[in-house]
Parts: sequence; structure tokens; C-alpha cells
Amino acid sequence: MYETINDQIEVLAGFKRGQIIPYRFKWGIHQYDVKKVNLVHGEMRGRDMLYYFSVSDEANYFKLCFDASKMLWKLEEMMES
Amino acid sequence: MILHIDMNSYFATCEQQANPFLRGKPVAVGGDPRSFHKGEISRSRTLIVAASKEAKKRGVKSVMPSWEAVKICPELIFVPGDHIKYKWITDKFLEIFKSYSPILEIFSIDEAFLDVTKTAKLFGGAENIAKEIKLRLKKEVGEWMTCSIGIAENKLLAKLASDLKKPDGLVIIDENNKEKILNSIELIDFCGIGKRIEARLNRMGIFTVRQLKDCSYINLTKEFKSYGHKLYLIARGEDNSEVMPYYLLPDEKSMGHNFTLPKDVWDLKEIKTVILQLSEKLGRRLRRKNFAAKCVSLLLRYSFNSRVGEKSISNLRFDKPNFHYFHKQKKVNYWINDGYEIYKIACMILEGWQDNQSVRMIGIAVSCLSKVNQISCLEEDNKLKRILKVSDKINNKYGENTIFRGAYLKAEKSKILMPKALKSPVSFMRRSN
Repeated sequence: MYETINDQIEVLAGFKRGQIIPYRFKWGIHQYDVKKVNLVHGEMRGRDMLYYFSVSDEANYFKLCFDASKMLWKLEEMMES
Repeated sequence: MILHIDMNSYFATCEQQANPFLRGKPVAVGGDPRSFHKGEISRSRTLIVAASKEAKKRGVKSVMPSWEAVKICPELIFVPGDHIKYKWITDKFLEIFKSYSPILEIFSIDEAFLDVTKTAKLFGGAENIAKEIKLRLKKEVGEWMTCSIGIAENKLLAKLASDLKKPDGLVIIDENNKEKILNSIELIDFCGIGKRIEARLNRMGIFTVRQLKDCSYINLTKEFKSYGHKLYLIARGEDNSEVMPYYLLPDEKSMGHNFTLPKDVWDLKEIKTVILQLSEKLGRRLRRKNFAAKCVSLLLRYSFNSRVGEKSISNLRFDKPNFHYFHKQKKVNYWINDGYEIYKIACMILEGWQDNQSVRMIGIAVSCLSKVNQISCLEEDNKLKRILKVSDKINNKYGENTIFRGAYLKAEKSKILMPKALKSPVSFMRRSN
């Protein structure tokens, strides 16, 4: 089912009308194009704001996390369909 | 005019919104009983927290043991619960509701009442508001999110209306269809008539809403005391209760936390370890809301096997003599909001525990709450308060459990640690006792 990953990733994202939209990300040697951002939610961890992006491509679901204070992206979990 | 909005299969729908590969499939939020491996924590005792509409069609229900759900629906997909996600989505849809009326009562994480009596005409009527809410929910939260909305003159009928059509329903109860609907439903369909009340009504020879309506006020109050008055109104579709806006909610009267252990526990030390974690959590919650308590209660629920055989597990869920338990409380004559104080009082209660049973769930609660800002005359007390204040400040800034009691490390060792109890131990509090 869900696989916990927690790896740092490189993300190509856009900023549109106050929203962050991840378009593409690189995890290890793999590169994935985000087909759809299905849900965005956030969490305050102490003073830091974390944003979670539940995204999918043609065959996989991914949960990406953006730590706004550290400007870091992580791949938190994934599921192959 | 009141709207009752009920999100359909809420937690499971949130998961299907996040992950489109789960859509159209039977999904359950909860621990997967099939993920049991040697050495790993057993989840076979977990319950279904929420089931998707597809799972519900297959007979899977909320609060059903996971193993039982798998038996009914072997292709059931289990997804771990993510309460941060659900709370975030709740806040988002509540914002939508608030834009139509400030008189919003948050009934639960996935249900709300909205009084639009004074604002309906601004938006083209109550029905129009309901339709707009449904559209905005899909547009602003997610296309898979649906809700059932009931519209009526009072909360009782609005709730009843939203329950009549699921998922994605919109039902209006007005003077034209009120009698017809009331006569077509069962007693248990009313919010306020549960299985026990229904059984008592049945014993009085009342099986239908019509029969309840025909029952005299005197007979109802004779049997149910003051609740008889409520039943008298329910039978007539009447409800005088007002929508209580979220900003006028009364202060909490008690607070509590329960934890179902990953395995049955006999050892007093392990039980105390969990009590400490629960107490700390409670202390933090009390201080965050500027409350202090005078009463602590401890609940120990025993395992299935303590007194009854495994064979009767399925009966136990539905029968009255559920699990055996130990429940006691202790009142003190001073105000407490320190987790360690709560823990010490719970340990005093525990001294009276002589059942020697294996424990499966531990619960701690505090009551007799008051907003207290008393300064103690004892320097030692004030010192402890200052330490708590600083540790709260650190945890507020850097996240929960950035700083914690050294005793927590024992919990880590014993592997009876509540989920997300600890991050990496950056530093920890020491205390001289």
C-alpha cells in the first residue's frame, strides 16, 4: 500500500495567485511529472509551516512536503497504482 | 431556516480526494490487520475509523474491528488516518459555510448546523445556499468531496433531512412534506433516539413515530422524566434548541485522552509509562487553554481474554457487558495543570487497583476545570511553573516534544510509546523526583 519514503527531492514549482504548484520533481535518478495536484493541506510544526501536496501522475500517488521555513521539499510517501 | 451539512464518509473521502487511485474502491481508514509481522506491533485489534461509500455498500461499517471488515470485504484497502489532513479540510469547508451566515454550530469534525434565517434572502434562499455550498466544496476543496444537506425550520428536522439521502443529498422538510416524512421514518432515525431509548419505547408498546405522537405527555414524562418532554417534541418534529455559534461555545467541563495499547499489558511500570504520556498531553492541553483542574480520573479497560474466551468477541461488541474495567477518580484541593502532577494523582489512584488483569486501554481525564492564574506562595511551585512555561514556549516554537521529560526515554525503551510521542530527543527536562 503506502510506502513511507521521507527523502529530500528537487522540485520544479510555480507560484500562482498565492498558491504553490509543483510541476515536476526528481527523486534519485527518477523524474516525475505531476499530472494533478489533488489536495493541499498544511500543518504548523511549532513556528514552522509545512505544506503537503497530494499529487499524482499517470500511475502513482505521491505526498510531497514543502517546509516553508527551510525551503526544502521532501517526498513523504507514495503508492503505485 | 436551518441547514444541516454532513460530509459523506468524511475521512475515507478525504483520502480518496488526496489519492485518485483509491476512488471507486472500497477504502477503510484504520490499521490493516493483514500488516502483522513477527516483531512488529500487532494491529489486529484496530477498528475501522471510517469506510468509503464503496466499502459501506459491501457491509463495512465504522467502529467495526478491522479483521471483521476484511472477512466481509477481502479487497478492502486500508489507509492510515491523517487527522492533520482532516482538520485542515474541516477548517476549509467551515470557512465556506461561514461566508453564508455567522451563526454556525460545529457539531463534529464533519457536521455543522448553519442558521440562515436572516441571511438566506441575500443569497437567493436556503436551497440556493445549499447548492452553492455543494459546488464550492468541489471547487475549493476537491472534486471528490460531497456532502448531504438537510434544510428545515429546526435542527431536529434539518438533521433528519440530511440523513434521508446519502451521499450527496439535498432534502428540504417543510410544512408540505413534514407529516409524510415523519410517518415514514423509524424511531431510531431521529437524533435523540438511540437503541436504548428505542428499546424502552418498545417496552411501552411504541414502535412507530405515529404511536409516539399518540402517547400522552404524562406517560412519556412518567417513564423518561425530563427527557419525556423532548420525546414529546421529537414526535411532532419540534425542536426549540438554537444553533449555538462556534464563538459562543461554553468552556469545556472536562478533558481526557485514551490510548489502546498495541499489546495487552500486565506490568505496572508499563502502565505507568503510558499514564505519564497521557498526563503530559493533558497538562499541555490544559495550559494551552489556560485551565487548571481539581479532579483526575483513571480508566483501565481489560483485555478480551481477561475473563471471557476469544469465541465470544463478536458478541461482546454488541452486547451490554462489554469489557470489564477499572474506573476511579480523585479530587484534590488545589489546582493542577502540570502533567507530572496529573500523573502522580493517577498513580495514587492506581495504588487501589488490585484486579491483576491484563490491560488493553488506558484513559486519563481531568474535570472540575477553571481558568486559574494563581501564584503560589511556595518558591518551589513557582519554579516548576517557570520551567513549564519555558518548555511550553520551546515546544510552541519548535514543535511538540522538542523538549520533554527524561521519563519519556523509558517509554521509548519499553516500546510502549504513543504514536508521534517523540521526535528526535534534542533535549529533555529533568526533574528532581
